[in-house]
Amino acid sequence: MDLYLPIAGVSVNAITIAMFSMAVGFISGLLGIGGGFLMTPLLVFSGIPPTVAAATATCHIMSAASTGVVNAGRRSLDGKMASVLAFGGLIGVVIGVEAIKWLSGFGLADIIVTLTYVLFLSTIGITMTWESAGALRRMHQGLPPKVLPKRTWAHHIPGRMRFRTSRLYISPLPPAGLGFLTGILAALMGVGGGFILAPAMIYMLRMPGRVITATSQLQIMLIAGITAMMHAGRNQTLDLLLAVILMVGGAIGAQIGARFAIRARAEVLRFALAAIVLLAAARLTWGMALPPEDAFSLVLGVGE
Amino acid sequence: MMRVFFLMAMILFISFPLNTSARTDEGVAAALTADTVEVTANFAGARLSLYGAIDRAQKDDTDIVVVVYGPLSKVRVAQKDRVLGLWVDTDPVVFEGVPGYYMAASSEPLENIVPFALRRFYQLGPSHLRLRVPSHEQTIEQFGLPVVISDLGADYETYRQALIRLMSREQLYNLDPAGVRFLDGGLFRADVQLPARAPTGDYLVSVYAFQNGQLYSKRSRVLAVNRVGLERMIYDAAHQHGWIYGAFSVTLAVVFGLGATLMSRRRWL
Repeated sequence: MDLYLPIAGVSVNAITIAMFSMAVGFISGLLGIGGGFLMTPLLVFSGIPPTVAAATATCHIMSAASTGVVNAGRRSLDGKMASVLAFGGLIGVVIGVEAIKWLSGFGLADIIVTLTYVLFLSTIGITMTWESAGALRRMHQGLPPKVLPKRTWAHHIPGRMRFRTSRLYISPLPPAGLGFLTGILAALMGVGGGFILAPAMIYMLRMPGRVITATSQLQIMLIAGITAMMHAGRNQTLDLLLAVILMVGGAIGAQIGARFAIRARAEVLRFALAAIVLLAAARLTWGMALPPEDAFSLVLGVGE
Repeated sequence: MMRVFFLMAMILFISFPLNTSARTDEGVAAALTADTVEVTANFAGARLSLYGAIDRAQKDDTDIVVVVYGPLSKVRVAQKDRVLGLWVDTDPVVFEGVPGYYMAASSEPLENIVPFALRRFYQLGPSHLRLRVPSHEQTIEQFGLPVVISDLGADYETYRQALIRLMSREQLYNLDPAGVRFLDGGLFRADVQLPARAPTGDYLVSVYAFQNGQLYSKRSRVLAVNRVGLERMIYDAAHQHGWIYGAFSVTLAVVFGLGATLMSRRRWL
C-alpha cells in the first residue's frame, strides 16, 4: 500500500513503515527506551529525507515517552529533578541547533553529526555490554549483584539542594549538565537520549531505580516536544501523516514489548539493550566504512 | 443582401484559408492529455502524453524536441570523503534555480538535429541546464562587460555532473533521443513519466520544431502538479502556520501517548 507523504514529498509503503515502527516500539517497550536512535536510521533507509526523518521521529519519541511517564505513575516521578534536567536540556537544544547552523557554514555539520553518532553509540554500547555481561555472569554464579558506591564525584560539587523523591542531596549542576548533553544530542542527532540519560542517572547521580524511568521519560518528553516544535516552526520538516503511522505502530509495539518485559530479568534486558546499541553502531560504521557507490550525495530542496 | 454575401465570403475565407502562405505559418501545435496532475495520498507517480502536430508536408524536414521543465528549488551536492576511515559528506555546494524535474525527448538524437549553441541557449538536454552556485559566484567587469565567475573553478563541472548524474538515477532527469514518435502524417506523441518524487508546482512543457538546425516554431504548455485533499491541507498548514502545526503535532503525540496507556490498562492488547 503506497502512501504519499505530504511533507517528505515521497511515496512510501505504509505497511513497511508500520512494521518498522512496531518493531522499534516493541524494543522500546521491552527495554524502556525511546528508540529514536533506531527509528531515524530506519526511516532514512526507507527513502525519507534525513531532515524529515529526524524531525518526525522526535514526535514519535514524545508520544512514547508520555506513555512511559503515565505508566510509571506520579509517585515515582521526581518533578524537581525533571525540571533541572529540562532546564539544561532547553539550553542544550538551542545551542545544538545554533551549532549545526554554525558548522554548516564551514561545511562541517555532516562530519560532526556522523562522528558524534558513531562515537556515542559505540562508547555507550561497549560500556553497557561490559557492565551487563559482568552482571549476567554474577547472576549465573549465584553471586549477589555488585553493590555500587553510594557517592560519586557528582555528589561532591558544592551548592547542594535536596531532591526529596530521589532521596538525593546534590548540587543541581550535574543533572543540569546531563540535561544539557541530552539536549545537544537531541538537536544534533534527532534522538531522545534515553540510552545515555538512564545509565547516567544510575551510575553518575545514583538515583533510586524506581524514579529513573518516569523522570528520564519526562525529560525526554519535554526535550522531544521542544525539538519537534523547533523543527515544525523553523524548518517545516515534520510530516504529520508519517508521525501518525509511527505513533500508532510504536504504541502497539510498545504494549507488546512491555508484556514481555514483565517476565524478563532486569540484567537480561540491560544486556539486550547493550547488544542492540552495539549492533546499531556496528551497522552504521560498517555502512560508512565501505566505499560509497557514488562519490557525491544529493539533498533536494534545502532551505539554506 | 450584399452585406450577407460579404459575411458569408468572410466565413468561407476564414474556414478555408488559402493553401499557400498561411499553412507554413501554422508551425507546431501541442496539447497534453492532462493539464493537472493531482497528488493524492496514493500518488505513486503519473504518466501523461503530449500530442502535437505539424504540417504533413513538412514532416520529413522537421525535428521535434519536447522539454519538460519542473519547478525550481535549491539542491545541495556534497562530496564524500574519508575521515577517520569513514566516508562522510564534505564540502557541500548549494545549487540554486535547479529544476526538480527535467525531461528532453526528441525524434532524433539532439546532437544530430540542433547545433551546440542552440542546445545551450534553449537548455536542451540535462547537460545544458543552467545551474548556478550563487554563494561561490562573483561578477567582475571584463572588457567593459559584467562577467560572472565562480571560485569553484574546475570543481564546478564535477559538482554539476554529479548533480545531473544523481538526478538521472532518481529518474528526475531524463533524456530520451527517441521519445518523440510520429504517429500519422504530421501527428506526433511524447510520453512524460513523473516519478513519485517529482516536486509539486507548475511545469513548463515546451515543444520545439527545428528545421535544418534552425528553430522554426515553438509552443509551450503549463502542467500543474498539485497536492489535493489531505495532502494539501497538511502541506499548507505546515508551511503557513508552522508553529500552530507544530503545537498540534505535539499535542497529538501526547494524546496518542495517553491513549496507549488506556490501551494497556484496559488490556485491549
